[in-house]
Amino acid sequence: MKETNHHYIRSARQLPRTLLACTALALLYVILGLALPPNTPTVTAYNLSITEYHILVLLISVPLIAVWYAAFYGYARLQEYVTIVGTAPDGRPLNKIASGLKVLAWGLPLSSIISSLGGGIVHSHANLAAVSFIIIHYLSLLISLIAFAYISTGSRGLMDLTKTYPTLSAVRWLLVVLTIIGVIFSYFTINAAHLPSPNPYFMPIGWVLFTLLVPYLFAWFMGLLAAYEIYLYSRRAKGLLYRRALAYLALGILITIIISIVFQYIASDTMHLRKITFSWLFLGIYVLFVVYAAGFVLISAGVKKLRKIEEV
Amino acid sequence: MPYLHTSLYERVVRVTHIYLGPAADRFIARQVQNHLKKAPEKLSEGDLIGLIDWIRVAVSLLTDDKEIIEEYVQQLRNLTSAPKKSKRQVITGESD
Repeated sequence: MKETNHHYIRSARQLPRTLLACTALALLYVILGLALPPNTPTVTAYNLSITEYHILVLLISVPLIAVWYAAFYGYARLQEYVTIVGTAPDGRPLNKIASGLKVLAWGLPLSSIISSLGGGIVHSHANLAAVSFIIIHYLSLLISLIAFAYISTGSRGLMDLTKTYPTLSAVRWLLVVLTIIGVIFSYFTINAAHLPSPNPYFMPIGWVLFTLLVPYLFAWFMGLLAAYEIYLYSRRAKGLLYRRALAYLALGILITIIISIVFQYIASDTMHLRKITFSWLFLGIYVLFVVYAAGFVLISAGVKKLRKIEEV
Repeated sequence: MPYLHTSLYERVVRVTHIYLGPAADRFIARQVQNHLKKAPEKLSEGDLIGLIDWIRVAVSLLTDDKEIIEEYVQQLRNLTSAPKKSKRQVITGESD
Protein backbone atom coordinates (compact mmCIF):
# COMPACT_ATOMS: atom_id res chain seq x y z
CA MET A 1 0.00 0.00 0.00
CA LYS A 2 2.80 2.41 1.01
CA GLU A 3 4.68 1.51 -2.17
CA THR A 4 1.57 2.24 -4.28
CA ASN A 5 1.14 5.64 -2.63
CA HIS A 6 4.82 6.40 -3.22
CA HIS A 7 4.38 5.52 -6.89
CA TYR A 8 1.35 7.79 -7.15
CA ILE A 9 3.17 10.70 -5.48
CA ARG A 10 6.20 10.23 -7.71
CA SER A 11 4.04 10.01 -10.82
CA ALA A 12 2.03 13.10 -9.84
CA ARG A 13 5.21 15.22 -9.89
CA GLN A 14 6.26 14.19 -13.39
CA LEU A 15 3.57 15.86 -15.47
CA PRO A 16 3.91 19.46 -14.20
CA ARG A 17 7.72 19.30 -14.54
CA THR A 18 7.42 17.92 -18.05
CA LEU A 19 4.97 20.59 -19.18
CA LEU A 20 7.14 23.29 -17.60
CA ALA A 21 10.10 22.04 -19.64
CA CYS A 22 7.95 22.15 -22.77
CA THR A 23 6.88 25.72 -21.99
CA ALA A 24 10.51 26.80 -21.56
CA LEU A 25 11.46 25.24 -24.89
CA ALA A 26 8.44 26.81 -26.61
CA LEU A 27 9.37 30.28 -25.34
CA LEU A 28 12.96 29.82 -26.45
CA TYR A 29 11.83 28.73 -29.91
CA VAL A 30 9.48 31.69 -30.39
CA ILE A 31 12.10 34.17 -29.17
CA LEU A 32 14.71 32.69 -31.50
CA GLY A 33 12.28 32.68 -34.41
CA LEU A 34 11.55 36.37 -33.97
CA ALA A 35 14.99 37.55 -32.93
CA LEU A 36 17.22 35.67 -35.35
CA PRO A 37 17.72 36.73 -38.97
CA PRO A 38 15.33 34.96 -41.36
CA ASN A 39 16.15 31.66 -43.03
CA THR A 40 17.51 32.74 -46.42
CA PRO A 41 16.48 29.71 -48.55
CA THR A 42 12.89 29.97 -47.27
CA VAL A 43 12.71 33.74 -47.85
CA THR A 44 14.13 33.32 -51.35
CA ALA A 45 11.99 30.32 -52.29
CA TYR A 46 8.71 32.00 -51.31
CA ASN A 47 9.68 35.62 -52.00
CA LEU A 48 8.90 36.82 -48.46
CA SER A 49 9.65 40.10 -46.75
CA ILE A 50 11.18 40.08 -43.26
CA THR A 51 7.80 40.87 -41.69
CA GLU A 52 6.06 38.18 -43.74
CA TYR A 53 8.71 35.70 -42.68
CA HIS A 54 8.18 36.50 -38.99
CA ILE A 55 4.40 36.19 -39.38
CA LEU A 56 4.98 32.84 -41.05
CA VAL A 57 7.20 31.78 -38.15
CA LEU A 58 4.44 32.63 -35.69
CA LEU A 59 1.76 30.92 -37.79
CA ILE A 60 3.80 27.73 -37.91
CA SER A 61 4.95 28.03 -34.30
CA VAL A 62 1.44 27.92 -32.86
CA PRO A 63 0.42 24.48 -34.17
CA LEU A 64 3.99 23.23 -33.82
CA ILE A 65 4.08 24.13 -30.13
CA ALA A 66 0.62 22.58 -29.69
CA VAL A 67 2.09 19.33 -31.07
CA TRP A 68 4.99 19.62 -28.61
CA TYR A 69 2.58 19.97 -25.69
CA ALA A 70 0.53 17.01 -26.90
CA ALA A 71 3.73 14.96 -27.28
CA PHE A 72 5.12 15.91 -23.85
CA TYR A 73 1.74 15.30 -22.22
CA GLY A 74 1.37 11.94 -23.96
CA TYR A 75 4.75 10.52 -23.02
CA ALA A 76 4.54 11.93 -19.48
CA ARG A 77 1.18 10.25 -18.94
CA LEU A 78 2.57 6.94 -20.18
CA GLN A 79 5.57 7.29 -17.87
CA GLU A 80 3.21 7.98 -14.96
CA TYR A 81 1.30 4.80 -15.76
CA VAL A 82 4.53 2.80 -15.95
CA THR A 83 5.53 4.18 -12.54
CA ILE A 84 2.24 2.98 -11.07
CA VAL A 85 2.49 -0.46 -12.68
CA GLY A 86 6.00 -0.86 -11.28
CA THR A 87 7.78 -4.16 -11.90
CA ALA A 88 4.79 -5.94 -13.49
CA PRO A 89 5.53 -7.97 -16.68
CA ASP A 90 3.98 -5.34 -18.96
CA GLY A 91 5.69 -2.51 -17.07
CA ARG A 92 9.19 -2.90 -18.44
CA PRO A 93 8.28 -3.03 -22.16
CA LEU A 94 5.88 -0.11 -21.74
CA ASN A 95 8.67 1.81 -19.99
CA LYS A 96 10.91 1.29 -23.03
CA ILE A 97 8.13 2.53 -25.30
CA ALA A 98 7.59 5.55 -23.04
CA SER A 99 11.34 6.30 -23.24
CA GLY A 100 11.19 6.13 -27.03
CA LEU A 101 8.20 8.48 -27.12
CA LYS A 102 10.09 10.80 -24.75
CA VAL A 103 12.99 10.95 -27.21
CA LEU A 104 10.57 11.70 -30.07
CA ALA A 105 8.83 14.37 -27.99
CA TRP A 106 12.03 16.09 -26.87
CA GLY A 107 13.44 15.72 -30.36
CA LEU A 108 10.68 17.95 -31.75
CA PRO A 109 11.60 21.21 -29.97
CA LEU A 110 15.33 20.47 -29.84
CA SER A 111 15.63 19.94 -33.60
CA SER A 112 13.44 23.02 -34.27
CA ILE A 113 15.53 25.19 -31.93
CA ILE A 114 18.83 23.96 -33.33
CA SER A 115 17.49 24.43 -36.85
CA SER A 116 16.55 28.04 -35.98
CA LEU A 117 19.99 28.66 -34.48
CA GLY A 118 21.61 27.09 -37.51
CA GLY A 119 19.63 29.30 -39.86
CA GLY A 120 20.60 32.37 -37.87
CA ILE A 121 24.29 31.48 -37.85
CA VAL A 122 24.30 30.76 -41.59
CA HIS A 123 22.71 34.14 -42.26
CA SER A 124 25.75 35.85 -40.75
CA HIS A 125 28.35 33.26 -41.70
CA ALA A 126 27.43 31.69 -45.02
CA ASN A 127 30.56 29.52 -44.93
CA LEU A 128 29.04 27.62 -42.00
CA ALA A 129 26.04 26.44 -44.09
CA ALA A 130 27.55 22.99 -44.59
CA VAL A 131 28.30 22.49 -40.89
CA SER A 132 24.84 23.70 -39.91
CA PHE A 133 23.10 21.41 -42.38
CA ILE A 134 25.14 18.39 -41.37
CA ILE A 135 24.55 18.94 -37.65
CA ILE A 136 20.80 19.37 -38.12
CA HIS A 137 20.42 16.28 -40.28
CA TYR A 138 22.55 13.99 -38.17
CA LEU A 139 20.78 15.20 -35.03
CA SER A 140 17.44 14.31 -36.59
CA LEU A 141 18.82 10.91 -37.58
CA LEU A 142 20.17 10.28 -34.08
CA ILE A 143 16.81 11.13 -32.52
CA SER A 144 15.08 8.75 -34.90
CA LEU A 145 17.53 5.89 -34.25
CA ILE A 146 17.41 6.22 -30.45
CA ALA A 147 13.62 6.67 -30.28
CA PHE A 148 12.79 3.76 -32.55
CA ALA A 149 15.39 1.52 -30.91
CA TYR A 150 13.70 2.06 -27.54
CA ILE A 151 10.20 1.62 -28.97
CA SER A 152 11.12 -1.54 -30.88
CA THR A 153 12.77 -3.03 -27.76
CA GLY A 154 9.56 -2.29 -25.88
CA SER A 155 7.33 -3.74 -28.58
CA ARG A 156 9.44 -6.92 -28.68
CA GLY A 157 9.02 -7.16 -24.91
CA LEU A 158 5.24 -6.98 -25.38
CA MET A 159 5.45 -9.73 -28.00
CA ASP A 160 7.34 -11.90 -25.51
CA LEU A 161 4.44 -11.49 -23.06
CA THR A 162 1.91 -12.88 -25.47
CA LYS A 163 4.35 -15.32 -27.10
CA THR A 164 3.11 -14.29 -30.53
CA TYR A 165 5.24 -12.65 -33.17
CA PRO A 166 4.71 -11.09 -36.60
CA THR A 167 4.21 -13.72 -39.28
CA LEU A 168 6.71 -14.20 -42.09
CA SER A 169 4.31 -12.68 -44.62
CA ALA A 170 3.80 -9.61 -42.42
CA VAL A 171 7.56 -9.04 -42.15
CA ARG A 172 7.91 -9.50 -45.91
CA TRP A 173 5.19 -6.91 -46.56
CA LEU A 174 6.96 -4.50 -44.22
CA LEU A 175 10.15 -5.05 -46.17
CA VAL A 176 8.29 -4.35 -49.42
CA VAL A 177 6.98 -1.06 -48.01
CA LEU A 178 10.43 -0.14 -46.74
CA THR A 179 12.05 -1.03 -50.06
CA ILE A 180 9.63 1.24 -51.91
CA ILE A 181 10.29 4.09 -49.46
CA GLY A 182 14.03 3.47 -49.76
CA VAL A 183 14.03 3.46 -53.56
CA ILE A 184 12.00 6.70 -53.76
CA PHE A 185 14.18 8.32 -51.10
CA SER A 186 17.36 7.24 -52.91
CA TYR A 187 16.05 8.52 -56.24
CA PHE A 188 15.30 11.99 -54.88
CA THR A 189 18.54 12.10 -52.89
CA ILE A 190 20.74 11.15 -55.85
CA ASN A 191 18.88 13.56 -58.15
CA ALA A 192 19.29 16.41 -55.67
CA ALA A 193 23.00 15.69 -55.27
CA HIS A 194 23.50 16.06 -59.02
CA LEU A 195 21.78 19.46 -59.33
CA PRO A 196 23.89 22.18 -60.94
CA SER A 197 23.66 24.40 -57.82
CA PRO A 198 25.90 23.51 -54.86
CA ASN A 199 25.24 20.02 -53.53
CA PRO A 200 22.35 20.54 -51.05
CA TYR A 201 23.79 17.86 -48.77
CA PHE A 202 27.29 19.41 -48.69
CA MET A 203 28.67 15.87 -48.70
CA PRO A 204 29.66 13.32 -51.37
CA ILE A 205 26.65 11.30 -52.49
CA GLY A 206 28.18 8.03 -51.30
CA TRP A 207 28.57 9.48 -47.82
CA VAL A 208 24.95 10.70 -47.86
CA LEU A 209 23.67 7.28 -48.94
CA PHE A 210 25.60 5.26 -46.38
CA THR A 211 25.56 7.60 -43.38
CA LEU A 212 22.12 9.17 -43.76
CA LEU A 213 19.90 7.12 -46.06
CA VAL A 214 20.83 3.65 -44.80
CA PRO A 215 20.55 4.54 -41.08
CA TYR A 216 17.23 6.31 -41.72
CA LEU A 217 15.86 3.22 -43.46
CA PHE A 218 17.08 1.08 -40.57
CA ALA A 219 15.40 3.39 -38.06
CA TRP A 220 12.18 3.45 -40.07
CA PHE A 221 12.14 -0.35 -40.32
CA MET A 222 12.50 -0.57 -36.53
CA GLY A 223 9.68 1.97 -36.20
CA LEU A 224 7.32 0.24 -38.63
CA LEU A 225 7.98 -3.20 -37.16
CA ALA A 226 7.40 -1.80 -33.67
CA ALA A 227 4.14 -0.20 -34.80
CA TYR A 228 2.97 -3.56 -36.17
CA GLU A 229 4.03 -5.44 -33.04
CA ILE A 230 2.21 -2.97 -30.80
CA TYR A 231 -0.89 -3.39 -32.98
CA LEU A 232 -0.56 -7.19 -32.67
CA TYR A 233 -0.18 -6.95 -28.90
CA SER A 234 -3.29 -4.80 -28.63
CA ARG A 235 -5.22 -7.53 -30.47
CA ARG A 236 -3.75 -10.54 -28.69
CA ALA A 237 -3.14 -9.41 -25.12
CA LYS A 238 -5.14 -11.33 -22.57
CA GLY A 239 -7.99 -9.54 -20.86
CA LEU A 240 -11.09 -8.29 -22.62
CA LEU A 241 -11.29 -4.99 -20.71
CA TYR A 242 -7.51 -4.57 -20.75
CA ARG A 243 -7.49 -4.94 -24.55
CA ARG A 244 -10.20 -2.32 -24.93
CA ALA A 245 -8.19 0.15 -22.84
CA LEU A 246 -5.03 -0.77 -24.72
CA ALA A 247 -6.60 -0.13 -28.16
CA TYR A 248 -6.37 3.67 -27.80
CA LEU A 249 -2.77 3.51 -26.60
CA ALA A 250 -1.78 1.19 -29.43
CA LEU A 251 -3.49 3.32 -32.08
CA GLY A 252 -1.87 6.45 -30.69
CA ILE A 253 1.61 4.91 -30.78
CA LEU A 254 0.96 3.62 -34.32
CA ILE A 255 0.00 7.09 -35.58
CA THR A 256 2.92 8.70 -33.75
CA ILE A 257 5.48 6.36 -35.29
CA ILE A 258 4.11 6.68 -38.83
CA ILE A 259 3.78 10.48 -38.78
CA SER A 260 7.21 10.77 -37.19
CA ILE A 261 8.63 8.81 -40.13
CA VAL A 262 6.74 11.09 -42.57
CA PHE A 263 8.17 14.20 -40.85
CA GLN A 264 11.70 12.77 -40.95
CA TYR A 265 11.31 11.94 -44.63
CA ILE A 266 10.06 15.43 -45.43
CA ALA A 267 12.75 17.14 -43.34
CA SER A 268 15.49 15.28 -45.16
CA ASP A 269 14.09 16.08 -48.60
CA THR A 270 13.35 19.83 -48.35
CA MET A 271 14.61 20.37 -51.91
CA HIS A 272 11.38 18.92 -53.33
CA LEU A 273 9.21 20.70 -50.75
CA ARG A 274 10.21 24.04 -52.24
CA LYS A 275 8.62 23.01 -55.53
CA ILE A 276 5.18 22.73 -53.87
CA THR A 277 3.06 25.88 -53.80
CA PHE A 278 3.09 27.69 -50.50
CA SER A 279 -0.61 27.23 -49.67
CA TRP A 280 -0.54 23.48 -50.29
CA LEU A 281 2.63 23.12 -48.29
CA PHE A 282 1.11 25.06 -45.39
CA LEU A 283 -2.06 22.94 -45.51
CA GLY A 284 -0.07 19.74 -45.68
CA ILE A 285 2.06 20.72 -42.70
CA TYR A 286 -1.01 21.68 -40.67
CA VAL A 287 -2.70 18.36 -41.47
CA LEU A 288 0.40 16.46 -40.40
CA PHE A 289 0.63 18.50 -37.19
CA VAL A 290 -3.00 17.73 -36.34
CA VAL A 291 -2.60 14.01 -36.99
CA TYR A 292 0.68 13.89 -35.04
CA ALA A 293 -0.92 15.65 -32.08
CA ALA A 294 -3.92 13.32 -32.35
CA GLY A 295 -1.54 10.36 -31.97
CA PHE A 296 -0.22 11.66 -28.67
CA VAL A 297 -3.74 12.59 -27.52
CA LEU A 298 -4.83 8.99 -28.20
CA ILE A 299 -1.86 7.79 -26.17
CA SER A 300 -3.04 9.95 -23.25
CA ALA A 301 -6.62 8.67 -23.65
CA GLY A 302 -5.42 5.06 -23.68
CA VAL A 303 -3.25 5.59 -20.63
CA LYS A 304 -6.21 7.14 -18.81
CA LYS A 305 -8.25 3.98 -19.42
CA LEU A 306 -5.39 1.70 -18.38
CA ARG A 307 -4.74 3.79 -15.33
CA LYS A 308 -8.36 3.45 -14.27
CA ILE A 309 -7.88 -0.33 -14.06
CA GLU A 310 -5.04 0.31 -11.60
CA GLU A 311 -7.04 2.73 -9.50
CA VAL A 312 -10.47 1.13 -8.95
CA MET B 1 -0.62 -30.89 -18.23
CA PRO B 2 -1.47 -31.79 -14.60
CA TYR B 3 -3.71 -29.34 -12.80
CA LEU B 4 -1.95 -28.43 -9.56
CA HIS B 5 -3.71 -27.51 -6.36
CA THR B 6 -3.99 -23.76 -6.36
CA SER B 7 -5.07 -21.31 -3.71
CA LEU B 8 -8.41 -19.55 -3.92
CA TYR B 9 -6.59 -16.29 -4.62
CA GLU B 10 -4.78 -17.81 -7.60
CA ARG B 11 -8.06 -19.18 -8.97
CA VAL B 12 -9.71 -15.77 -8.61
CA VAL B 13 -6.77 -14.16 -10.42
CA ARG B 14 -6.97 -16.77 -13.19
CA VAL B 15 -10.64 -15.93 -13.79
CA THR B 16 -9.88 -12.20 -13.63
CA HIS B 17 -7.07 -12.65 -16.15
CA ILE B 18 -9.73 -13.31 -18.81
CA TYR B 19 -10.99 -9.76 -18.36
CA LEU B 20 -8.08 -7.71 -17.08
CA GLY B 21 -5.09 -9.52 -18.54
CA PRO B 22 -1.74 -8.52 -17.01
CA ALA B 23 -3.54 -6.22 -14.55
CA ALA B 24 -5.48 -9.11 -12.96
CA ASP B 25 -3.06 -9.91 -10.16
CA ARG B 26 -2.69 -6.25 -9.12
CA PHE B 27 -6.44 -5.70 -9.30
CA ILE B 28 -7.42 -8.63 -7.08
CA ALA B 29 -4.60 -7.97 -4.61
CA ARG B 30 -5.81 -4.39 -4.30
CA GLN B 31 -9.43 -5.43 -3.72
CA VAL B 32 -8.43 -7.94 -1.05
CA GLN B 33 -6.05 -5.57 0.73
CA ASN B 34 -8.23 -2.46 0.54
CA HIS B 35 -11.67 -3.93 1.20
CA LEU B 36 -11.06 -7.15 3.11
CA LYS B 37 -8.03 -5.80 4.97
CA LYS B 38 -6.03 -8.97 4.62
CA ALA B 39 -3.11 -10.34 2.64
CA PRO B 40 -4.21 -11.67 -0.78
CA GLU B 41 -2.86 -15.18 -0.21
CA LYS B 42 -5.01 -15.44 2.93
CA LEU B 43 -8.24 -15.13 0.92
CA SER B 44 -10.72 -17.77 2.10
CA GLU B 45 -14.02 -19.17 0.83
CA GLY B 46 -15.86 -17.11 3.41
CA ASP B 47 -14.38 -13.90 1.99
CA LEU B 48 -15.31 -14.69 -1.59
CA ILE B 49 -18.92 -13.41 -1.54
CA GLY B 50 -17.86 -10.07 -0.10
CA LEU B 51 -14.96 -9.85 -2.54
CA ILE B 52 -17.27 -10.55 -5.49
CA ASP B 53 -19.49 -7.61 -4.44
CA TRP B 54 -16.47 -5.29 -4.33
CA ILE B 55 -15.23 -6.60 -7.67
CA ARG B 56 -18.64 -5.99 -9.23
CA VAL B 57 -18.54 -2.36 -8.07
CA ALA B 58 -14.97 -1.87 -9.32
CA VAL B 59 -15.58 -3.45 -12.73
CA SER B 60 -18.77 -1.38 -13.14
CA LEU B 61 -16.50 1.66 -13.05
CA LEU B 62 -14.42 0.21 -15.88
CA THR B 63 -17.19 -0.77 -18.26
CA ASP B 64 -20.90 -0.21 -18.89
CA ASP B 65 -21.18 -3.62 -20.53
CA LYS B 66 -23.49 -5.42 -18.07
CA GLU B 67 -23.14 -8.71 -19.94
CA ILE B 68 -19.41 -8.82 -19.30
CA ILE B 69 -19.83 -7.80 -15.68
CA GLU B 70 -22.40 -10.53 -15.04
CA GLU B 71 -20.34 -13.13 -16.88
CA TYR B 72 -17.28 -12.25 -14.82
CA VAL B 73 -19.21 -12.27 -11.54
CA GLN B 74 -20.82 -15.62 -12.38
CA GLN B 75 -17.42 -17.13 -13.11
CA LEU B 76 -16.23 -15.95 -9.71
CA ARG B 77 -19.35 -17.36 -8.05
CA ASN B 78 -18.65 -20.70 -9.71
CA LEU B 79 -15.42 -20.85 -7.74
CA THR B 80 -17.42 -21.29 -4.54
CA SER B 81 -19.23 -24.38 -5.82
CA ALA B 82 -16.46 -25.89 -8.02
CA PRO B 83 -14.81 -28.86 -6.34
CA LYS B 84 -11.12 -28.38 -5.71
CA LYS B 85 -8.95 -31.22 -6.89
CA SER B 86 -6.41 -32.35 -4.37
CA LYS B 87 -2.90 -33.11 -5.51
CA ARG B 88 -3.52 -36.85 -5.08
CA GLN B 89 -6.61 -36.69 -7.29
CA VAL B 90 -4.72 -34.80 -9.94
CA ILE B 91 -1.86 -37.30 -10.09
CA THR B 92 -4.02 -40.44 -9.94
CA GLY B 93 -6.88 -39.02 -12.04
CA GLU B 94 -9.46 -39.92 -9.43
CA SER B 95 -12.62 -37.83 -8.94
CA ASP B 96 -15.08 -37.37 -6.08
